[in-house]
Amino acid sequence: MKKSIKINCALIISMIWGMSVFAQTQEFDVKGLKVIYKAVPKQIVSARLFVQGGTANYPLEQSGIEDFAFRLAVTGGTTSMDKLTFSTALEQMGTTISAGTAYDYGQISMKCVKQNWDASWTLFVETILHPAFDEQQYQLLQDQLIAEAKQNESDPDESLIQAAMANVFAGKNYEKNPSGHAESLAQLSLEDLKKYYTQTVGKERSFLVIVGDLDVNALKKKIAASLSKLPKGTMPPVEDRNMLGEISNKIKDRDIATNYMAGIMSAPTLASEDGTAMMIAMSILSERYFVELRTKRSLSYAPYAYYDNGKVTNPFNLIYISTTDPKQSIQVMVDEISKLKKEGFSEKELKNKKQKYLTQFYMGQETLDSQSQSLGTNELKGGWEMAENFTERVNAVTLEDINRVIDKYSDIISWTYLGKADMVSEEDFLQPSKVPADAKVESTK
Amino acid sequence: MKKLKSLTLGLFLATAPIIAQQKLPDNFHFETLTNGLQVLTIEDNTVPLATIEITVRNGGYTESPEYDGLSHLYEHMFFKANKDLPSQEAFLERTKELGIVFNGTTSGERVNYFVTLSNLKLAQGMAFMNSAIRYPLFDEQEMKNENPVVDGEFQRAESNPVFFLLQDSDKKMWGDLYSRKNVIGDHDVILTATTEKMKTVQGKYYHPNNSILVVAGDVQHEDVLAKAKAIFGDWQPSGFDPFEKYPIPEFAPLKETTYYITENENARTPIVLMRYHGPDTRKDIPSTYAADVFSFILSQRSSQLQQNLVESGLAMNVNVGYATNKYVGPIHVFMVPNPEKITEAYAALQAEIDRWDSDDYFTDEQLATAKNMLAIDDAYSKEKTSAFIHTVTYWWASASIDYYTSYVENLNKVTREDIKKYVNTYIKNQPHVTGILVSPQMKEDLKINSLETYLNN
Repeated sequence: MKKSIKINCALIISMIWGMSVFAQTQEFDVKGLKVIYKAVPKQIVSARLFVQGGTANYPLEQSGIEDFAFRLAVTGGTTSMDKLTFSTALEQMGTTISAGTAYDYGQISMKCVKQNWDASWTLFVETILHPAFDEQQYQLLQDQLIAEAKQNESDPDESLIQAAMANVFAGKNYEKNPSGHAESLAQLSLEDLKKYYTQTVGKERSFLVIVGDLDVNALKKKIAASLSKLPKGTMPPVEDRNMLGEISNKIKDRDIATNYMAGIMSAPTLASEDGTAMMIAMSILSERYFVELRTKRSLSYAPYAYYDNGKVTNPFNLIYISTTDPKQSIQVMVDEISKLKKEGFSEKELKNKKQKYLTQFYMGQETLDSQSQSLGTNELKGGWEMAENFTERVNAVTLEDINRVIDKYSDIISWTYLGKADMVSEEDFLQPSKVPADAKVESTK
Repeated sequence: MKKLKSLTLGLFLATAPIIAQQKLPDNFHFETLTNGLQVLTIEDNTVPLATIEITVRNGGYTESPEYDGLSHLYEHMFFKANKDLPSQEAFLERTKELGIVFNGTTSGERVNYFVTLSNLKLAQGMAFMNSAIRYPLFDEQEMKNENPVVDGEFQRAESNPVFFLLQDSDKKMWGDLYSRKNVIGDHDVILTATTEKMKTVQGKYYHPNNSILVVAGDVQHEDVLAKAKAIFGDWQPSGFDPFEKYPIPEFAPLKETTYYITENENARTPIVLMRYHGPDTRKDIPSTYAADVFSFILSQRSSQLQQNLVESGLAMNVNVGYATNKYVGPIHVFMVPNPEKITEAYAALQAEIDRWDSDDYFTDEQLATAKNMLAIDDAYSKEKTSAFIHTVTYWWASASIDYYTSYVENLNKVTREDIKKYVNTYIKNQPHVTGILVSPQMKEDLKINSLETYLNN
């Protein structure tokens, strides 16, 4: 449980970097709705209503329902303004209101220039509290979403990731595609969407993030008069984490110019003691892949590795490549992990990686939209404070930490392949060599 | 407004326009060194970062068929061995030491290279860029290694069926000069590229008098200029204007409307693409502004185009845009028709185009909203300095810095008559290239043998 009000000033403390980003972030409650507000003196305001649960909120056969419902809410007009009046009002102000969904949450967001804040807020609130859910708009959007889903199917990267999620998380929430597919979207009725929206968008599972230069008391009054009137609602159902302890490989045949592969491994949650170290370890692995697979062997334009902590309840590590030589690529990717399990990373790699993370952290602070997204997603992962003490957490990671986590979470890889099926077989999907429990990990300091 | 046409499939990018005057925003500081290198500093102290970009007037438009794709390969070689960092491993190691986030892009009329790092490491960052831009080694083995990597990028693009719809369109749009608009290049040319060819590209275009250095972020312009003089000041100019010595041939106007079918078994839904030869910043600057404003009128939900195509259920999506270029910017109409109503959707689209020059096609309110949307988009884009810098260099390459800094002001001057002139000069009753992406099964089901016959009957 966090304190009700927390103020963080002068976020970044690092001898390497010369100045601090000044910001004031505070958390407060307005009649049961949690609000995170960050004051930044810019002429833009970003607001996001996060709704927790995501794929936990609906069954497999309703894949895409949250995306459909939220997008219909923000594009289909309200009970007091028809779609055209509503969209014209937004366009005239240059304000954007949009909706999106992910595996663990959905959100309705708004961005405006400060001079249009009051009028934009009114529209933002209106669309959340009183969406029209009009039959005609429902039908139009359904056709559009089905067309989008079909286009996504023809995109190999989209297709690969969906196939990998369905493969590794079969029977779990993450098997569901948050955007839905043509068949599931076609079966969702307007009544399904209304029911979903009503049951899901409530204060228990929602919170509001706002970043801008606003008067806090006036903001509280606005929220009290509007979004605090959302129904109380319920918390989303909770699913146990899946540690991905079994190998599951899948080959999906497609005749395309190159082949796409993803390997998924277990990972800790970001807020756990292993979280930040995992992020750094995978990022260094990604750099090693770049050198080994692209620079030295010319096997791929795009090899990479990352710790996907954006999947909040069930983070995982992912290694990826597009290549015309899948067998050799798998061998090199696995060998690199085995080598790390045996020899560990170097102190220099860790030091350099910390430098780069600081650059990336500041790049993520450039827009208010990215700041509000970071605060919101970190709140879901364990607390918005993690967005603000990022550099301290990075600087605290030791060589022993990254060596420990790469060894701990990389025993089992589940592979998914999209491409010419005759170029691989089950036995090509290698696994890293395990290091005996009593072996001493060597490090180059 | 403008966007960056990089080597992705997201090629449908509305773009923007120009004019010439010397008013710069307060945080812009512009100088030209004696060797011709232009230096622009954009001060923004939001975060303690510096982004350093070098942009060269190079890209697809400079490529004859035997060099098709080599501007892009050259861009990759920037990130390899140079005089001071004698191997790619050494190069990458230096990026890690400096905590650099880096990349480069190649487009039709620009190649840019950029790094972002702590503002306290500005001098090291500028020295790093200087070594890479001036002293690439084009090591034979690294060249050999990189050719399949660039080809791999190509193959990724080819794995998405929309890529082929675009390529087929480009071939018909640009004819014999296709290579001048084909940024991604030709497989054989890429795979057989040599060090000599890289040196030829370098000798033609990689000179201070054909480049701009932009430094943006929490920096002081006096300091940037002093460092630029010290680090880049002895970069010798070419002594010639590359575009006078190696002129870009003029694209021949389309003589007639052509139709084509792109068949790809991975297509899941039909897509229609119409393209026209549009204005450019050498010959018709006012129309480039009109093009952007009109595109934003058509994007509004209240527009007749959106109402009659999308809201009517005839199309899932319709998007009209113009890419600002120095050499014939293309205008596109991208439509995802309702698969059950392709011919009706196309007929409705034609009916819309026929009325684009009508006095009542859009309201004064829609005109004002379009201008406002463009201005606010511009304001939003300035928020992220490390990306905004690419917008500025896009304009530098395809128009001028002045074009960009007076962009919003000139948009506001666009009249209904300007838009009518733009429509009548470049779109209405003008030849175009129209294609459809379908799978073999769709083609058979729809009985499409000739697209022209199919769409117009």
